[in-house]
Amino acid sequence: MLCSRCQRNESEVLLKQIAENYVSQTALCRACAEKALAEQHESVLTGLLADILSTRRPGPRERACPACGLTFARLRDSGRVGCAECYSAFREALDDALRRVHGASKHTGLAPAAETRRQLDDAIAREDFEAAARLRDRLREP
Amino acid sequence: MSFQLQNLLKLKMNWATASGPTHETVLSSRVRLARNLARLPFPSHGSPRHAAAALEDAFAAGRRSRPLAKAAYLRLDELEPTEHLFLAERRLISPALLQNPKQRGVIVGEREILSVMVNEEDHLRLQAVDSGLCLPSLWQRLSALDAEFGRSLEFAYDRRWGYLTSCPTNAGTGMRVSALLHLPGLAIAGMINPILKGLQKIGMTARGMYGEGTKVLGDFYQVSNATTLGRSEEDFVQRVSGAVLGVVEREREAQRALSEGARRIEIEDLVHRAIGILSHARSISFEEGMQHLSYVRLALSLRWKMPIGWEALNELLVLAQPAHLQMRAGRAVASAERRVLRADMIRAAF
Ligand SMILES: [Zn+2]
Ligand SMILES: [Zn+2]
Repeated sequence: MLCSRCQRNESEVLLKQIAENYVSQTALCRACAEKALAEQHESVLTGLLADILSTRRPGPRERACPACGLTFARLRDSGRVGCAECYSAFREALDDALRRVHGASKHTGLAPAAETRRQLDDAIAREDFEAAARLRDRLREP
Repeated sequence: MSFQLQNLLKLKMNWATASGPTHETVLSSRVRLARNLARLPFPSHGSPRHAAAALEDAFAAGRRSRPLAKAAYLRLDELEPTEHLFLAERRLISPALLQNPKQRGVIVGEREILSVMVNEEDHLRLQAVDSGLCLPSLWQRLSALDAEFGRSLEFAYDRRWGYLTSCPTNAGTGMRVSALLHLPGLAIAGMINPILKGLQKIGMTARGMYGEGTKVLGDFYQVSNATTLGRSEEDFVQRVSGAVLGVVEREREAQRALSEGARRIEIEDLVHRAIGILSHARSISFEEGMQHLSYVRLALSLRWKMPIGWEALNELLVLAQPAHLQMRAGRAVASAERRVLRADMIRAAF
């Protein structure tokens, strides 16, 4: 059987892939199989993110990141940001997109020590001693 | 070949030891955290100077940490292409970025339980892997490593969005919790698709392959959390553990039904033909080898008497890959000869 991608080489590999969580099998030559695997995104969410961003018109302050110069168009096409500042530069667009991709747009997990220390001060200030104890545990050396 | 890679080839991968809970179905568990340095552009956008600084900082932080103080510190631009593939086959680096080894590196801890990829999509990818379904204990180890790195490095973090990553679909916890499942019973019974569909409904992603960059692949599936934001790390760990346990139960049922029902003779035939081929072939492709090893693995899980044990079989799944065969041979080997070397190695194990 010929490779179903290049239609040139004999197929050597039966590539099982899951799209939308369905298994599909494609007969590929070795070179094409390697390419196909390299192209595979970490998750289908990357594609979803690009789709969501592509329906959006960037606001006047959303055209490019002042720190790294990444443009909205590049973010939309690649699904990737260029630096931490991009998250501020494209805040509105990402807020909408992340809400739809993750079903949430507020992080509720761990934080770096400095941020945890701030949270601890907040917890003490509002006299939430249960939260304070938990945060203090987290700051303790392992 | 570098001395450090020579050592990796010799030493055991802990996940292959078949010692963890439900290792018959769950080959390995894995937890990965994506982290970036706050003051540098992400690897895809930085200059070579930025990348060099990130690599240096990451290695220095690793050397200061307790778990990785004595780890192997590898720079990809000092290694050969086959050695890159070797690391990818062991899932210590991701294959998607093999084209560009410049200023990339990997830290490999004892028995490959803890490792850190540097300058891939994100500055750091901390990961922990071990045998069987053991996600909570892996998370504890990885979380401690994350805390140690966090003392040396300032990570990109936002109060609203958590840890910031190159791909916003990883932002928040930056965490991917996964298990590598062997599901031969469900595959033979034709039940894979409904199972995967069910996983999707509960927020999981499933991929049908062994590793990320290798060829095809018996009946190996990787299940992981689809999203990374909006839940705590513990929550993700519990959800993936629960989802995986559900699949393990279904696989056991499928295996029981196959081995007790009218199809038993069909399974026995598959398994014994597989043993025949694996113990006699003079030349075998990776794909064919994987398929037959998968049947023998099924037989082990049914507690049938087999000429090979769990650990040897798990190791073959890794060692039979192309770059591993070449590393063992100590030279470049073309594909036809690789098949012969692969058959020799498998025969010796059967
Ligand atoms: Zn092809
Ligand atoms: Zn930027």
